[in-house]
Parts: sequence; C-alpha cells; structure tokens
Amino acid sequence: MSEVAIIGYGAIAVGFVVTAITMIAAVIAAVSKRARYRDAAIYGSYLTCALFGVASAAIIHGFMSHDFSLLYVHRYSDAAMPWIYQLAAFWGGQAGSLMFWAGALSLFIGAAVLFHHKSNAPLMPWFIAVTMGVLLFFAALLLFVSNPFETYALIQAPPDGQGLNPQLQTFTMVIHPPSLLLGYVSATIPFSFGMAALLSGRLDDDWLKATRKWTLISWAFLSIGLILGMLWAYTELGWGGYWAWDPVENAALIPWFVMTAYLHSAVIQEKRGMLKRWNLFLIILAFILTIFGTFLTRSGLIASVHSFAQSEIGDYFIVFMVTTAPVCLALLIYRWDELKSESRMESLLSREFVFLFNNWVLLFAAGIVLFGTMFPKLKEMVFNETASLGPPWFNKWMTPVALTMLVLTGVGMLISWRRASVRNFQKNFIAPLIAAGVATLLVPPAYYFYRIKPMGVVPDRLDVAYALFAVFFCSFVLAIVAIEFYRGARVRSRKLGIGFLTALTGLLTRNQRRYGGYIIHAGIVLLVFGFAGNAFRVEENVMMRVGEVASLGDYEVHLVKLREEPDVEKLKMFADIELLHDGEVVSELSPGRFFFYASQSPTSEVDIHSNPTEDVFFAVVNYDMESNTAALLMVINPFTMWLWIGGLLMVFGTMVCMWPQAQQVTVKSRKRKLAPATTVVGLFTLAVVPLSLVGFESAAQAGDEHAVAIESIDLVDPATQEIFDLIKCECEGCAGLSIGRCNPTCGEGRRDRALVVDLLASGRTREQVLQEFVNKRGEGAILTPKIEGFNHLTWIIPVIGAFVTVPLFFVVARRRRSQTVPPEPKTAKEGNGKAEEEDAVDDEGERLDDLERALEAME
Amino acid sequence: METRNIIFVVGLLLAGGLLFFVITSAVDDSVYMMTVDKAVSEQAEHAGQEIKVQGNVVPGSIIVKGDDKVSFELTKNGETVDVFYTGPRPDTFKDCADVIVTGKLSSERSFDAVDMIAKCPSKYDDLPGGCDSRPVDEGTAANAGSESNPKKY
Repeated sequence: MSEVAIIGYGAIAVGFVVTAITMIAAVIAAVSKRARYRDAAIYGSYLTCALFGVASAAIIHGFMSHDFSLLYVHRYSDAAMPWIYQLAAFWGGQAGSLMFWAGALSLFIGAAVLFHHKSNAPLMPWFIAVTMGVLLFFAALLLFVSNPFETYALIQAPPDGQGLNPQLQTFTMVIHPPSLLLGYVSATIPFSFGMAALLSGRLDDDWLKATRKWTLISWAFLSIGLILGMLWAYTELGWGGYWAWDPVENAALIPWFVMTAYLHSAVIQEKRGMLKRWNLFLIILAFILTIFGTFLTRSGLIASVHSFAQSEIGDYFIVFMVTTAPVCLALLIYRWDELKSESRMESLLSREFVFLFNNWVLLFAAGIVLFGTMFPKLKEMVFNETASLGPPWFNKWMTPVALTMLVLTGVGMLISWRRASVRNFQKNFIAPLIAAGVATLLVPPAYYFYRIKPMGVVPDRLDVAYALFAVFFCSFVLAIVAIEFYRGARVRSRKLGIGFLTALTGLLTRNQRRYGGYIIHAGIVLLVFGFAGNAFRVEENVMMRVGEVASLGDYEVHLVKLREEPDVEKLKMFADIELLHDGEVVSELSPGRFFFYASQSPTSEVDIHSNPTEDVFFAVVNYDMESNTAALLMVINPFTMWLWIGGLLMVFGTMVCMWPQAQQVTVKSRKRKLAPATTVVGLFTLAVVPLSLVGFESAAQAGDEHAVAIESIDLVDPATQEIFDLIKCECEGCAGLSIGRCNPTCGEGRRDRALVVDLLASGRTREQVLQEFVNKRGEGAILTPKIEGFNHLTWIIPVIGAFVTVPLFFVVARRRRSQTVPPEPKTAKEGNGKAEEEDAVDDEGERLDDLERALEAME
Repeated sequence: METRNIIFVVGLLLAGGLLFFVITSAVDDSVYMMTVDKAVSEQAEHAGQEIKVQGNVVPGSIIVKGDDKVSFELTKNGETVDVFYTGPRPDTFKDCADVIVTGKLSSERSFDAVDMIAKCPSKYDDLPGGCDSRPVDEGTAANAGSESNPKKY
C-alpha cells in the first residue's frame, strides 16, 4: 500500500481524534473557566491545522507524483496533465473537495484562534468548541464515508489515470471551485463567533466586531467564485450566456445574499445597538445555507448541468443541517430577552431603516432563488409531478428585486443616521440626482440611435422601463461614489498641502472601510449594468457553408474556412470568421471545437470580439467537413465587458476594506507557561497511539476491497518487488514504467516478472538478474534509480512539512502570547458614553465636511 | 404601540401577497418535465401543452434530414417516441446520449421538439454515461453502447 495513503489517512484519523479531544477540552474550559483547558483547546486547534494540512499535502503529493495506486488520483488525473491541473484535480471530485474543505476549515480556525485568542478571550472556549464540532463532522465524513486515500491493490497500480474532464482544464476552473469552497468554509468562522456569544452569554458587540473581517473574507470568496463561475460558463460552455439560474449557481448565490444582508445589518448594530437578534439569525442562516448548498450540489436532489458525483453524502449534510439548525435557533430564543435593542428606530427616513429594508429585500431575493430552485422538488412532493422552472421566471422576479436594491444602495450611502433632515437631503442628494437625471436624458437616447436601432432590436416595453430605471440609479450611485471621493480628496489635499492624486490614494489607506465600501458598490453597479445589457441581446443560430455571409444585428459574418488540426490528445477544429461592420472587417475570429480522444468528449472553444458597448460571441455548435458547413451560435451581448470590470472592482474594494490597519504598539512579556504545552503533548500521544493502529487497519481494508478490480498477480517479497521496480516494461502504453508498476494485463510485463522470479529461484543475486536484462535488452532495460529516489523524496516532503509546521505553530503562538498586550479593560466611559459616541457618529465624511466649512471660512 | 401593530399587520399582508404571487407565477411558468414512459402514459393530460421529455437516444435511429432537421427515437424505461427536431444539434448529441427535448407531443408516438439539450459526459459524474437505461431486448443498442464507452483496462 502506498506510503502516501498511510500518511494521509493516518493524519485524517489522528486529526479526527485531536478534533474531538480539542472540542471536549474547549467545552470543559468554557464551563470550568480553567486556563489549562483553555490553552489546551487553543493549541489543539493549531494541531488540527497541522494534521489536516499534512493530509491535504499528502493528496497533493499523490497527484504530483502520479501515484495512481490512489483511486482518487487515478480517477481525476493522468500523467500528461500540466501540474496546475493536477493541483486543480485535488478538488475535482467529492472526496478531495471534502478534504479541501476540512483542510481549509482547520486553517481558518487556526488563524481565527491565533488572531482572536487574546482580544476575544472570553469567547474563545465556546468558539473553539463550535468550530471543532463543525470540523469533526467533516473529519468523520473523510474517515468513514468518503476517503480520498482509498487505494488499489498492493502492487498493481494502474499505469495511468483517467484524466480530468477537458472542460475543467481551464484557468478559471483552477480558481472558481476552491474560491466558492473557501467562501462556504469561511462562513463557519462568523457563525461560530455568533454561537460562542449565545453560548457564553456575552452578548455585547465583541462577537460582532470579531466577525467583521471574516464575514468580508467569506463574502469576497463567494463573490470571486460566482464571478469566475460566470466567466467560465461564458468562455467554455459555449451557450452564449453566463448565468442560467442553475441549481448549483443558485446554491452559492443564496448564502451570498444572506451574507450581504448580514454585512449591512452588522453595521447598524455597531453604530446603534439595534438588530441584535436579527444579526444572530442572519449569521446562523448564512451558515445553514452553505451546508444546504453543499447538500443541494452533492445529493443530486435537483437536476443540474453540474453533474457532480451523486452519492449518499448529501444525506449526511441534511442530517447535519437538521440537527444544527434547531439547536442554534433554540439558543437564540433562550437568549431572546437579553438581546433587546439598545435603541429604537426613530424614523423611516434614516440610514438604519434603509439598511433594514435592504436586508428584507436581500432576504426576499434569497427566498425567491431558494424557492425557485426547490420548486421542481416541492411540486413533485405535493402533486407528484415533475416540472422545471426556467430562467424567465427567475428573471421576472429578480430584475425588480435587483433594481430595488440598486435604489437602496444609493439612498443608503447618503442618508444620515437616526433621522434624515432637509439639510441632509440638500447637501447630499441634489448633486447626484442631477447627475443621474442628466445621464438618463443623454445616455439612453444616444445608445438607442447608436446601437439599438442599427442592431434592429425591438426591446420589450417593460425592459425599456427597467433599463431607464437602471441607467438612472446606476449613474446615481456612480455619481455618489465619484463625489465622495472628490470631496474627501479635496479636503485632504488642502488640509495636508499635498497633491490631489496623492490625497485620493491616501483616502484608501486612511478610511478603508468607507472608501473600500464605495469601490465595492461601484463594482456592483457595473455588474448590474452588465446584466441589464441582456435586455438588448441579439442571438442567431445559423447553419452556414464556407464562403457564405450571415447577418447578426448590424454586423455581417463571413465564414472563410473550416480547418481541422489533430494533435496528440485531441482533434482541434476551427471555423475562421471575418466579422464585418459597415463593410469593413472589424475582427477575425476562430471559434472551434476540440474533440478529446481519451474522454470521447468535445469542448467548445468560443471566440469573442469584445468592446465597451458589446461582446460579439461565436461558438461552433457542430460542423461537417465534407459539406463544408458549420452551425454557428452568434450572439451580441451588450455591456458584458462591464460585468468583469465590476467584478474586479468588487474584489479590489474588498481588499481595500480588509487591508490590515496600522499595528498597535506591543510590549514584551517573557512569562512562559509549560502547562499548555504538556497538555497538548499528552493529548497528542493519547490520540496517536490507538488511532495509528485503527487508522492503518481500516485504510488497508479499504485498499483490499479494490484489489479485485485489478487483475492480480502473485504477491512477491519486497526484494523481488524492488527488482521489478527497476526493470523497464516493454509493452506499449507502459512507457517509462517498470514491470512492477505497469499494467498487470500486459503480456511483456508478465513475461519479465516471471523471468525475474525464475532467475531468483535459480540462485542469482539481484545484480546478476539485472545484468541478465542488460545483456538481453541493453542499458535501456534498467530504469534509472534516480526516479525512485525522487519519489521517496517527494513522499517525505509532507512529513517534513508536518514536523516543521507543528513546532512553527507553537513558536508563533508563543511569540504572539508574549507580544500582544491584553486588551484594555473596558472603561465606564464606553458604557455611559455610548449615546455621545452615537451623536458623534464617526462618519468621517461629516468630519471632513466640517473641516471643509472651516477651511472655506478661513478663506 | 398601536402604530407598531399596524406596521406589523401591513407588513404581514404585503409578505403574504408577495408569497402568493411568487407561488402562482412559479406554477404558471413551470414546464412539466418527465421521462419518455411517463410522457406516453400521461399524454392525454398534456395534449397541446409544452413539456420537457427526457430519455436516451436509441442507437442507430438518428436520421439527419438536411442542415438543421433531424429525427431520432428517444427511449426510457421501455417506452419510445419519435422526435422531430429543427435547430442546431449539440455535438454531444449521439447514440445513447442522455437528452432532454422541449416541445409538444403531436401524436401518440411522435414529438415535435423546439429545443434540445444533450448532457455531456462528465468526469465529475460517478454514473457511467450512455445507454445504462436502454431496454434489454435491443441487441443493436447493447453493441453500440459498449463501443461508445471504451474502457482502458
């Protein structure tokens, strides 16, 4: 059995026990308040990090070293794949994505504990207990249900893997799945802080502040994942669009809506002490929905274009969800009275109310998408009929919802807290409203005469109304963002006597949350703008012969030629096209189709002519070389470029928000404690000894089950196997493999193995046997032992990694302990002064405005 | 307190109204989807109605009639219909392919399709693609099926 499997599965098994023990230690620490257990829990959580890190490293190593004795590696990769896709294959299947989940979760937990164990000490024990509970669930799945380290028979690994679906071998696919998964995984951290607050009864705003960056991280990963998913669908799937309301897309969008709602309502609690229950509810909901999303994609409950492995794994998620949700909600109800708002909504014309309203709209959006996704199943349950609900229904509901959110985005950025005044309206709203009005009067008519009319699009009346509305509010929000940046930069440049541009960039580092937020919202507006372009979409499906010209809107498409270019792994076909506008060639494009021999599957290679007003998209649906015809899908997608720009802006804005702020001054204290270290070592030993036995046994069993799948050859002793591994196999298809590793059914390999056994039986030594082969077949018969050495080296790396990381965690942890200053005890000022603080609403804009007035007065 | 109650009631009514519209519109906009055998057995109920039918292409039944017209037999759970389709054919569309067609049943055993989706074989998929649900009695189908699903070992 493969060493990789032993290490990996062993690490999972030990990780499982360490997680369980850490959880118990954390609960004891929470109940008894004993520092020894608390420290044990903290170090235990670091240890899980190292263990699941080793397991993840082992599976990655399996891919990189082409260890096809691992079922998982065999199934999702082949030796010819570039390394980056070998890495992507890690999360290409179910067991691997669970492994990725557990590894990433343990890492997030470790980081959260590292950063918060001092500043949020009272929450820590329960926080660790909850996170360990979640981690335990995934560790159990890996250990008992879906083991990524299942192996083939002892000696005979298949010579090559089955490869990864060619459609998944693209750059976007390397980032899209892990990004979505990380979004899902990191939602555990804010959820656990919320639960820790509920469990410990420390219901002040500490938990909320602790979650701030973690929620942003989760939100950012989900956003990146969603946008890259769209980009992948657009450039790889060849149906001319990027969003189809597919259940798997929806599964990621639903928590995104809830997370967005939470990000906004958390601000209200921070500033005004309101919506405490609502925030806890939202964070619980977001977490449950990520689990639900995983369930939806893995269970195959709803038919989807993402044909994931459908397995019983979904059942475990639903059990987890059904047991977790009531416990969380019961806790929330238990603390209900303690979670009273500190203040009340004073007016409907206030930022609080706009934010709250935006929350309702976002939750309504999440509800609509959830309902639409589940509708086929609901209908089946109620009426015993299957039905499908297509994109038109989703668009019908989501378009007005998106526009409402757009309005609220603009209003929410400007309206003042507590109660908006006429002055507030005059000061903030008039300029952007005028800008938006002017833009609406100019842009749509210009666009109509410039593009819509020439393209011959006759948009639906409702779409026109929506489009006008969208233009108005998109420009409203963009104007607000521009004005805010301009104002802030002007004040800074005057005050500090620096240049305008320096002042502008300075804004980003000075008040990150505010200006990062503006950038994110500008990004969202561009996204909406990109989506709105669908109202004027032109789509043509044309069967063309070479030399023919077809029209697409006001473009003409000339099919110049069809060509086929075979290469080693695929047959490449291209349709060369000239895109003409007003009789002039604008662009030469070559959409095509690749047909992969190994997987017998074609992929569409789309080609897109992109400019700021529109994308012209081409895909070959099918073709026939004999008759020189090709069926082309041709689409004009207005404004699609802005979608990707908006996405980039969102990511950039989030990075600005999360960028670490200036460090606090730290003081050293050299106090050392041995107790926690000894506790951890004790726990670790306790865990390792029994589990290393259990783990190996069941891993070996798992391997044996698959032994039958491969035609087995006689087992030989290690010395013979070593010789097998040195002799090159002659048969076709086993290039570079030894007779010990090549396909068991191949005749030459079988013959040579028999020969080796015979020679050894007749009393020859290892060297003599090898010499015999050299005499017969020349030097080339013996594989260079260098390869073996390399293999050994590579499997040792994860072990070394573990030995390095574990102590590193301790060292880092210890250094952090000695450096950080305990948080200043809360002074009475903060309690009493809350009202004052609210009055001073730390809105830098207002402060800047005051400064501005002062400056103007001086002049 | 009274204004709060009023707001609560109005909110509840609004939410209820929205919910009602969401559900009724979903019921109106949804398209029935069924396997071939169900479409055949329940065709009286769906006469003249647009439906989606899912099944596998019977190997050897594909007849191309010009550039964008094709007819083929679609089968599932022992029932078969003739499908007449006009439009571009996805190139995953071949013998045994798992296909969903949208359109109307024009007679007992024939279906006029306006849209066709062929599922692509995916490495993400644990189930073997192809003719796993073909009727056992079709010898030709069995032969074609084994060819279209080559195994390396």
